Amino acid sequence: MTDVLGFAAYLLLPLFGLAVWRLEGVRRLDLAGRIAIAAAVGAVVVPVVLALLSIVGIEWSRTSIFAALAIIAIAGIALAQNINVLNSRRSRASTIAIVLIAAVAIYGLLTARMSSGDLHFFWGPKAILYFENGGLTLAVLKSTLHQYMNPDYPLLVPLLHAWSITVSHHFAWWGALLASGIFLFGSVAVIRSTSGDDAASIFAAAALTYTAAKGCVPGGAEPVLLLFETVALCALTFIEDKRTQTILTAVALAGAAATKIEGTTFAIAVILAMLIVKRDIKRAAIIGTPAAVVFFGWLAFVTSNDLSVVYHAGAMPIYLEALPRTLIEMGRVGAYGLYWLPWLGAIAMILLGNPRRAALPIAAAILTTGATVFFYIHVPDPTAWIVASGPRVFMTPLCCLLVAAAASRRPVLESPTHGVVP
Amino acid sequence: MRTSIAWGAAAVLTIALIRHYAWLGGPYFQFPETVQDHVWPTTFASRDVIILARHAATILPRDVTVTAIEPSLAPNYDTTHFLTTAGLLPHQRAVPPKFDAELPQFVLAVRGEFTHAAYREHSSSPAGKIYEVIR
Repeated sequence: MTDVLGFAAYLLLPLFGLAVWRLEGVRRLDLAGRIAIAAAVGAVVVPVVLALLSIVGIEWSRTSIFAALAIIAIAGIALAQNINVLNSRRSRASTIAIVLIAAVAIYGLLTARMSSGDLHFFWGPKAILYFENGGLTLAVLKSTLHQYMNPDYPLLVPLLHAWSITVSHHFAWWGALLASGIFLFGSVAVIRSTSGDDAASIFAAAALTYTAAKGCVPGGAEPVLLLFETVALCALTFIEDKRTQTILTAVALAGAAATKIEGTTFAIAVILAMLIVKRDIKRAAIIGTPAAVVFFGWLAFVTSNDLSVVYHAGAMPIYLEALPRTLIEMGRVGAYGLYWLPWLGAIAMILLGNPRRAALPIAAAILTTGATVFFYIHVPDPTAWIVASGPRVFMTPLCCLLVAAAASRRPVLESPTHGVVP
Repeated sequence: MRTSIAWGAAAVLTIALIRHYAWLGGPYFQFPETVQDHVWPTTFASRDVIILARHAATILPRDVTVTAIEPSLAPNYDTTHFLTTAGLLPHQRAVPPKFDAELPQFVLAVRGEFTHAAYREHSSSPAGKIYEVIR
């Protein structure tokens, strides 16, 4: 029962992001895409509410949390009413293919074949620690136990899990693992819905599932990070309504920055890609501001409270002599034991389309890969680090290429309905 | 051509995924005891800690200090083991595996006997043994 309720908490996330259905660019998407985007927004809203309750001194309880979130959900439902549900004109074969891949993923999750040790090592224990404490306090963040749990990792994931505990009362280990499947296939739904490209979506589903399994990703922070990354890239690449683009990208980048340091790197890469490809400094600044507030706010907090561990790495020396070894090892690990098929498939699809249409996600892929190399050369021999983290970390540039694969097909000025008929 | 590549590559990736599942080992149609049962072909010690901690949750008093170790790793114990207990024993106090100052009141030991003059065996389960400090 705990797992059912705990999993249900993650399924409820779209309720708290329903307000974005009012946006012109979201209104035109099919139902799966709209639900996935609302889930991404909900995955930002819920942790923000929990953090705000602690900041204003309200102890977490079912009453306080449910009341705060109920107001948001009711407002979202009211805003989302009277929106025409659009019928998707997707090929049945592609739907069946994605459902089959999802079934293989669910099997992997339910048999713990797609699973990460980190769920038991710190993501879950952190959430339980916060929940048992009745919220976030400086004392709990500085406690001896918390010091062992990557104390400066951003808080979004443990706060999401704390929301799940609020619903189920006990931590739902299986619920948290299965939630990874929601986030991964939410990413696929966003790509499919915004791009209208069934072939690229099938490939994205298979590539994300395979690499997530090989990288022991489910149960960690990457699934929700990938959802944020997909929403940001797809909003910028496929959605033509500027207001929708700006709001969705800003929220998704803030969510990414609140998830992991890699999310901040991704946000910086996207802003730089926008400046390079779109040359729109004002919009890039607007879109990047919430992520910058999250990052610098958290950095100031962990630094001033002696919680900083990973952020101190920025002050470490760079070992340029480690570069050749880094590149070779990244190439070896990035093959995913399948001759680089996830990458080669995406690149082939881009080359067979028009790569210029996919300039922004391609630029983001190159920049995030460069950032990964930059991180790795901060140690003299990063081999073990790359072996341990590479399969997870490389999913971000891969995600960029999967969006690029879909983008390379569609003409930029095509109708925004993307295969959806009213 | 583009569509064929997408479908073909997706098929290969899915078959490779199933092959990966098989490589991780069986049983294939049995709900696992923990979310760590098939992370790797060999079972993680932390998987045993999960099962032992579940047992400990039913018998240990509230608010006692607990740690978890794989004795053969002494003195450089894997801290993920005690962190695992932190998630499973929220009513006790998980503490790092340090035996040079204030001793943890209980020690969960997996994959080997814990021999320490200050501890005696409290109880055991198939996943490991629980030791308590001698007062």
